Amino acid sequence: MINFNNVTKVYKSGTEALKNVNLAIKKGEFAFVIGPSGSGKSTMIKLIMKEEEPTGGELYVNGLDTRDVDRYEIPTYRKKIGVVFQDFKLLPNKTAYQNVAFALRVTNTHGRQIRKMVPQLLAVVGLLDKANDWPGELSGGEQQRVVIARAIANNPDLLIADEPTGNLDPRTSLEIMNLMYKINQMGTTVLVATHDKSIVDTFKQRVIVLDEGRVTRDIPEGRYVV
Amino acid sequence: MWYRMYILGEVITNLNKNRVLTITSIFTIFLMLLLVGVFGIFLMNISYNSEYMNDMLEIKIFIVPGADEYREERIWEALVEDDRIRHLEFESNEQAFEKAKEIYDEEMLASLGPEILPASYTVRLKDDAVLKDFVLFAEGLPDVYTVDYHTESFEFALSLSRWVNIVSGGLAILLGTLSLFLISNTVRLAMASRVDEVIIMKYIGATESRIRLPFMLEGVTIGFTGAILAVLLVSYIYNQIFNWFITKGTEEVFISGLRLIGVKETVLVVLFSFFTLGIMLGTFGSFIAIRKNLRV
Repeated sequence: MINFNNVTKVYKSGTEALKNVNLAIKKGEFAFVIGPSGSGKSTMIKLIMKEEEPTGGELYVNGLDTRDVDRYEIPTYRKKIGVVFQDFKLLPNKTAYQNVAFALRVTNTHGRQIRKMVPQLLAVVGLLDKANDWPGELSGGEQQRVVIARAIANNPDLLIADEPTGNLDPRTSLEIMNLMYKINQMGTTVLVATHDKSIVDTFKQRVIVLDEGRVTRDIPEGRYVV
Repeated sequence: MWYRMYILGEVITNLNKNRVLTITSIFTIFLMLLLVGVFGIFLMNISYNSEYMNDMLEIKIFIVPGADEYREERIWEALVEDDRIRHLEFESNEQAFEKAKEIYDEEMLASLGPEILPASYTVRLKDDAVLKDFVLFAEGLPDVYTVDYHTESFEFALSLSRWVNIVSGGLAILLGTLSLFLISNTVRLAMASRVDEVIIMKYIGATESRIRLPFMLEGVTIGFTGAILAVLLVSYIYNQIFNWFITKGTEEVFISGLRLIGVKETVLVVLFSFFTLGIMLGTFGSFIAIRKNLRV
């Protein structure tokens, strides 16, 4: 699913964010990427999203060398990846329903299909009864559930979450991770970048440890160790 | 359909959010188009009347007093074969004397006869650029007493239209640049206020054109609105001027030989050029802002 072959990323400022990273994440896998701030977690996500280009090595996502993905092909490429942000990024002037529908509308899904899919997506994240609530009326956990519904709206092969529990209390964090685990069980590959020790320890999934741009540990069914 | 309505709603909401800058941008485009329109219509009318102005440029070739018919005929033959001439007319000394009587006191002319005035040819050229060459040629003809021509009013009209061209062109460029700057800033503010939406669209897999479309439309809406206002005002002003001419002139709107282009034709030209210019400026203004600030 994802293959980092000796990937290096040096920014224009000279910062070396990733150094010769070798990593393979299989289809259907659930993996945590952990490490201190500045260890390269966000750069890894940016490279997968093709927001940045590797300065060395090769990165394959869904069998595609990211260097071969042309500019006009990026939207199609990104449609296969769902993203969950730490700060939710819900549109405040849209209800939960409209926020999810928005993702489908901007990717040219037919209106009838949208009306059918949005309630299903909201049901998956357990928010069908809050479909008409505004983001301001939802709790942090509920907002993150809407974000997850939006992220899986286009039925992605890969779900990436950048600190998805960063703004949530421990109980809500656990609920969110349970939801992501449920999505993983439905066949979607899930990659979670996090600082949340308790979450990593609870779920006992693969843990990739990054430090100063290098993969220092890669433990199957691991615990939070930096 | 929903998405189109959604984009339209977003465009209106954002323009309203940055109201001051939106109004300033619309006003600048309006002002620029108004200026272009007023001067443009003036220049269009000058060109429309160019034939009339050409007629103002008359060359009088006076024959030496007392020349006989044979000598007059010789000059005629030289002129009639000249393909630079559009109009040629002979005026005998008798005809000139009759005209003089209409102007001067008859008593003053009573003791004088037609022989005191020279016969003349009145010439109008096809192309005024050859004026100086033609005058030299005419002065060199045998039995030509003098060659007279008055270019003041013609040259005045020409230099006026040249100055109008320069001044209006300069002002239009200045206002055009200013409106581009203002539109691109309005669109830039719109992008800043919707940064989250752009990020979401980008990550969801929306195409570049989908992401950029609302911002492009904002610029186009500004240009279009400015154009509508300018078309309305310029058409109104021209209609008023035209009606004023009608009440003063004949059915052909003829005043001292000057004619005005009809309101319908003018409004059509103004409508087409203003909308084209307004929309072009709006699109280009948005394009500048998007290129500089929106990395998809």
